[in-house]
Amino acid sequence: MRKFIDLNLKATGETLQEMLVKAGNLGFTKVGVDIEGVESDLDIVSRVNLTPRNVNELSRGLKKYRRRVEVISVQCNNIKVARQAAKDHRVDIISFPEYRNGKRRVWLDRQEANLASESNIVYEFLFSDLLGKNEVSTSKVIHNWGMELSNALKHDIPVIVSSGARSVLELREPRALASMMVLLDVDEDKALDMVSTTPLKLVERNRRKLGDGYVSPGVRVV
Amino acid sequence: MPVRDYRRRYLGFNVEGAVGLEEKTVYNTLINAVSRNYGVNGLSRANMKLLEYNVKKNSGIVRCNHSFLREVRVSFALIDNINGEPACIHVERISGTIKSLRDKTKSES
Repeated sequence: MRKFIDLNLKATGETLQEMLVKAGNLGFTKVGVDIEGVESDLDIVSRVNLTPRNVNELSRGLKKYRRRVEVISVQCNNIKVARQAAKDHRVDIISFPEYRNGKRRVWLDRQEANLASESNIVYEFLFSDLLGKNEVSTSKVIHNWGMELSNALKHDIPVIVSSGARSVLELREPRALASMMVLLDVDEDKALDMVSTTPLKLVERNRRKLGDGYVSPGVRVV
Repeated sequence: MPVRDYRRRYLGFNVEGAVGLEEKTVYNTLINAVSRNYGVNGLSRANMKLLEYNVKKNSGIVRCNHSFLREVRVSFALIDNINGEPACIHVERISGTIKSLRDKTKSES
């Protein structure tokens, strides 16, 4: 039986506690939150979302958090940060800002995908990007996702889908998150992997790295 | 042996956020969600019907064509308000027959 994981809950305080209970009811076994010291029946994955303005800020953030949290996500707001994040092995997840009218968007283009594929970086889609929008904005988001997904798949970059929920009403059941990929013509099994196997592998890999005795991939002090 | 022209799926869903909605409001929301994403052609392919809706429990059962199930599901997931009030719809169970859907729902509650 599949275990589902939502790696990106963005709420705080009481809302987060409500969301954790709801996430459990919806069928998630693990959830990722960007706050430390959260207690729940679910397996909590510690995560940090970095939004650096330049390469130096990115390096500082990675140095500070790499040994402290299980998952590091970088939102690339400009091309220099995007390229550096794609090259850096300390980054786990990259994401890009939404489309904004009149602004050139940084996205997972061919060059970015090429760099990311060599660094074991995962690309994340947020379901919340589709909510609260009119038809035109939604169609633009889906169009951008289509282009990014095609680049990611061409370069074998793992893709995950998270809710990105800020409230209980933005949470969706795991199979609904997976079915979102039907909009991008992804097979059902592959889509389900994006909310189960792929994020689980990422978390397990990082937990092994943070565990005692880890030296480098395949090497461990026994 | 008689064979059905097309197979159906029954979706047990739950409305969250908005309370005390009339059946017609829920039906319109579901229909609008599918037609917003897939148009009139999609709506005809989905062949959707709201079979029942319990106002007290905020839950109901929808029937659709099995080959259009994922599309219906994503359309429901994209609902973020009902009549301007923040709300969402969770599909709790899917079954091939309405009887088994009801049995499963009963055994869970």
